[in-house]
Amino acid sequence: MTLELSNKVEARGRSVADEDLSAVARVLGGDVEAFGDIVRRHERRMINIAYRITGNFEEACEVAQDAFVSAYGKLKSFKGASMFSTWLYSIVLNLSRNRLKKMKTRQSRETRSVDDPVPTAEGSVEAEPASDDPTALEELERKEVRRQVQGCIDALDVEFREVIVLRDVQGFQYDEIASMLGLAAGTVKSRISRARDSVRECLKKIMGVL
Amino acid sequence: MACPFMKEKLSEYLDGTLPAEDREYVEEHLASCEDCSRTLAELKATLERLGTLGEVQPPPWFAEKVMRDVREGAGKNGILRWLFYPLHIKLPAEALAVALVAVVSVYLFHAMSPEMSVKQAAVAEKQDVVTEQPEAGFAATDAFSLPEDENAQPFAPAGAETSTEDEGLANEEIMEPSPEVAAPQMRIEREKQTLSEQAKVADSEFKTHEHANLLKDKQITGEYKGEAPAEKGMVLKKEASETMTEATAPDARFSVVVEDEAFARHEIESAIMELGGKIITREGEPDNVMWCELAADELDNLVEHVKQAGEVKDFKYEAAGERISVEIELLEEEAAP
Repeated sequence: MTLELSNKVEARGRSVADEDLSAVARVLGGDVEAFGDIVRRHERRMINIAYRITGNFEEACEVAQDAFVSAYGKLKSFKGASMFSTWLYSIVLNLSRNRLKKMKTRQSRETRSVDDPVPTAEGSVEAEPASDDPTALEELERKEVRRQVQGCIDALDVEFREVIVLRDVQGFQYDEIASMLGLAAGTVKSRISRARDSVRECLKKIMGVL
Repeated sequence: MACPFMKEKLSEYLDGTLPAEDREYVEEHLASCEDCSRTLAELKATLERLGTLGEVQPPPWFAEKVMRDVREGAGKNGILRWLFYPLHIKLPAEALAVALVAVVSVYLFHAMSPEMSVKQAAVAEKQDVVTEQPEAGFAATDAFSLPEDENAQPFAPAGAETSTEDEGLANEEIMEPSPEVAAPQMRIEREKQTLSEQAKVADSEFKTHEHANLLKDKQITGEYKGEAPAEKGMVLKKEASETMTEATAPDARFSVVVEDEAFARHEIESAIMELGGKIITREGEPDNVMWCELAADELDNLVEHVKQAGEVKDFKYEAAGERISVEIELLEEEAAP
């Protein structure tokens, strides 16, 4: 099943790449508006990558926006050695990494109480009103699970965080991840293995049984 | 806890990326290792949990906001690229342009500075001429009186009635003398003073009109005839000299014995103005000598007016035209012979 998903992603990636090259050629020819096609095609993926790495939706939108503008400015440097989407996502990964460092620095300066609610990717973790509606309860449970999973991702160092996001959340192939991060495929496999193990341990501690 | 050598293989086994040989080895190991089997189950559950995260949707304004930034960036990049890129060509060219502007600025500064000093000198000369009027006690109606607002037009003489044909042109040239004119202009001033002194000597000795006219001709047409007409800066100075030279050879002259020289001067000036005459200022003239210009028909009336101020003596007159120049010497009674 996982293998099928990977192939699907790969096929989708190749298809998008062809369309990207056409748009890239138009932009390089002076058609600025053609860049809008690229933005609309990749905005969701770009924001999600940034969101899962930074853990903050507003920050993620800013990072993705900066990444698109940066990509437009450096478009001439894209030589087509990799897929355009790979090149584009490598930019948002770099900016996400930098933004995460700034956020950590900012947070370390802020004094926090142990009683303060911990901000997570899913938003506020403050108490929500109880409900007898089974659907609402299930949704609350799923939301709690997502919050816990994101919390475990956030607990990883950034080099492990980005590989697990790219592989297990976004579904990229090892070679694509290696290309985006500029790493050897073996290094990517090793990091993914360690990242999964860390998240497994984290979830076990939080949930008790997986 | 999984066996250490199995950790990475379990992850790849889940992804289905293990080679067939490794996959068989892992499966054989899992059949015999409970810890690794449990770890594999937990890893599967972990991946399922990770799969529940789903995707967030981009804000509806996102693409438009990005494109707005891209368009603005495209404009800036265009200007910056036009100004600076390629750097290895544009920067040296811009540095060269800055150096060129600096050199031209320095050159213009040096080229303009003599003109500025000439203008200052012209103002100083004009002020020297004007200051003689109060000393002579005349009203500021002469050819070289300055306007009331002297600072407003420092180079524009107010004597619009100065009877020189080239006055307007001369004024313009005085306002903007070229460096080439400056040197001859100063030389002319020196020569004019010399000639004026010569004329004064001739006047004081009352030599003949021929001698005075000879001086006048020399001054007007002599050495200056050879000067280029374009040097209009000299014209005004020459006109000033003519006016004074005409006065050095009066058509009429007389002395007046008065009790109070200042009072008598005021009375005579009033009479001259009433008769439509014009008081003339002369450089280097004794304080007790007045010069004027008026219609020949009015000379008798002037003498009648002057007689009211004092006794008229030594009257001399030679008819010379409709307008004549008159020299009046004021003698106080005790100084009169």
